[in-house]
Amino acid sequence: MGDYDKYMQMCDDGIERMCGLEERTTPIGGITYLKDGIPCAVPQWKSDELQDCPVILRSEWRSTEDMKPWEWSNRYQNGYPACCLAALCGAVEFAFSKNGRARTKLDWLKAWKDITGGRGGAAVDYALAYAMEKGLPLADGSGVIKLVEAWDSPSVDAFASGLQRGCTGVACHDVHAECVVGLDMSGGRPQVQMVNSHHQDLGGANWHLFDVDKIELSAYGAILIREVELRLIDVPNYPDAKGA
Amino acid sequence: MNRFRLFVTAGLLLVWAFGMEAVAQVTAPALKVEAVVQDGKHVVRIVPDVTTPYSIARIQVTATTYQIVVAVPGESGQPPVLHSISLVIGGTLPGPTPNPTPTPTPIPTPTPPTPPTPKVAFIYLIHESGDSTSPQAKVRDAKVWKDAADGLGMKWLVVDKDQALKQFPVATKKAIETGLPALVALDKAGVAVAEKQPETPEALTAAVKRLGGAK
Repeated sequence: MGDYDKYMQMCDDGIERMCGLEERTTPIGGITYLKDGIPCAVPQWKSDELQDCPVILRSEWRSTEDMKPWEWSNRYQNGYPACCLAALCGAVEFAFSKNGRARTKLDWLKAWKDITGGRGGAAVDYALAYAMEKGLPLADGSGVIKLVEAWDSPSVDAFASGLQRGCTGVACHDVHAECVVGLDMSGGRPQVQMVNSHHQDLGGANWHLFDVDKIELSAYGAILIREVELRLIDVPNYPDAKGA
Repeated sequence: MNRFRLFVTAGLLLVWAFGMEAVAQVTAPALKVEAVVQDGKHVVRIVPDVTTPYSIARIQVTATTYQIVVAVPGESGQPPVLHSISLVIGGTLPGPTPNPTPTPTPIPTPTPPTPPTPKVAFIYLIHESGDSTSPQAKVRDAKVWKDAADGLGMKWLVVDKDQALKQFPVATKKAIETGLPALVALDKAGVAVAEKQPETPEALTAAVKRLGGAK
C-alpha cells in the first residue's frame, strides 16, 4: 500500500476508491489553454493552411527508432491515480533525452495535486492544457517545462503519423493512460511502444507494445508533443546551460 | 624624459652591437631586458642597467621580428602599463672582429603556421520541426550518430530552429543559410561549420565522425 491512503475518496456506492483516468471533458479539437493570457486552441494533428501535419497512409507506416536506450527515469505511480500526469511527464522526459537535453526529472505527483487537489483522477485533455499553460513542474522545484508544440489526435492514424514525425505522446486504454514513444511495425500490425508507470525498474515490465487500433481515442484522447520550452543543460559552458 | 633618452640610447646600442636592421618602436621606459633570440645563440641585451621594476609580460618571436612586452607598475595604484619593444632581426651578427663590409644574410621567408584542426565541441542538429518528414525524423532520432558524438567527446543537441534562434543565433543562422535540417559544428571558440543533414543515419554518423576528427 502506498502513501496514497489520504487521497482515497468516497464514491457513490459508499466504497472508498482511488479514481483513475478520467474521461476527457472536451471534444476532440476542443482543448483550450491560456497563452500569455489569451485563450488558444490546442491544434489537431492534420494539415491545413497553418501547419503541415499530414496523416500518413498506413501502407507507408514505418517503425520508429527504439526508445529504450533513452530511458533513464522512472515514474512509478505508487498507487496514485495520476497515470495521465506520469505518462505526460514521461513523454517530455523522453523528448528531452533523445534530443540531447539534460536529464530533467519532472514532478508528476505535484502536477497531479495541482490539477486534482489530491482527489481523484485526471483527464488527458486537462493535463495537456495545464502543461501548455502553466508547465510541468521540475522535480527540483527550480521551474517548469512548458509544451510548445502539442496536438490533439483526431484519429489513431493521425496519432501514429505524429509518432513517425518525431513526436512522443500519451494514449489511453482500459481506464489508463500511458506514455507512448514510438511506432512498431515488426509484428505485422501497427503497435505503439508504450512505457507504463506501474513498475519501478527501468527497461523492464513497464515497456510493452499495444495495438494502435485499440487506443480509446474518443473517450480519453491521444495527444502528441514535440517541442518543449528550452531549459537548462547540465554541461558547463553549454549555450543553454543552467548555472554554467 | 630622461628615461626615454636612456631607452633610445639602449635601442641604438642594440642596433649597433648586433647589426640589427632597424628598431621599429621605442616606446618603453629605460629597461634592462635579456632574452635569447630565436636562433637560440644570441642574447639581446638592452643597457644601461636601470632600476625600474618591470616584468616581462610576453615574448613573441617570429621569423623576422622579436617583440618583448614588458609591464611596468603604474603610479598611485594605477594598473600596470604595458610597453611593447619591437626589433627586426635580419642583419649579420658581429664577431670578435667585425667585418667592415658585412654581407647581409638573406631574410628568411616566413612560413605561415599551419592552423591546428579545430576540435569540435558541439554538434547541433537544427531543424524546422513543422517541415520535417518521417525519414528526416527517423534520422534525427537515430542513436548511432549520437553514440559517435559521445565517443568523440562532442556534446550534441537536436533542436527546433525557433528555439535554437533564441539560444545560439549564429549557429542557427548558419544552419538556415545551409538549409534546414542542418548539422552545425562548433569548436570551443564558437566557430560554426554547417552542412545539410545527411539522409541516412549512417551518413549522419560519418559526418559527425569527420567533423569530430575521427581517424
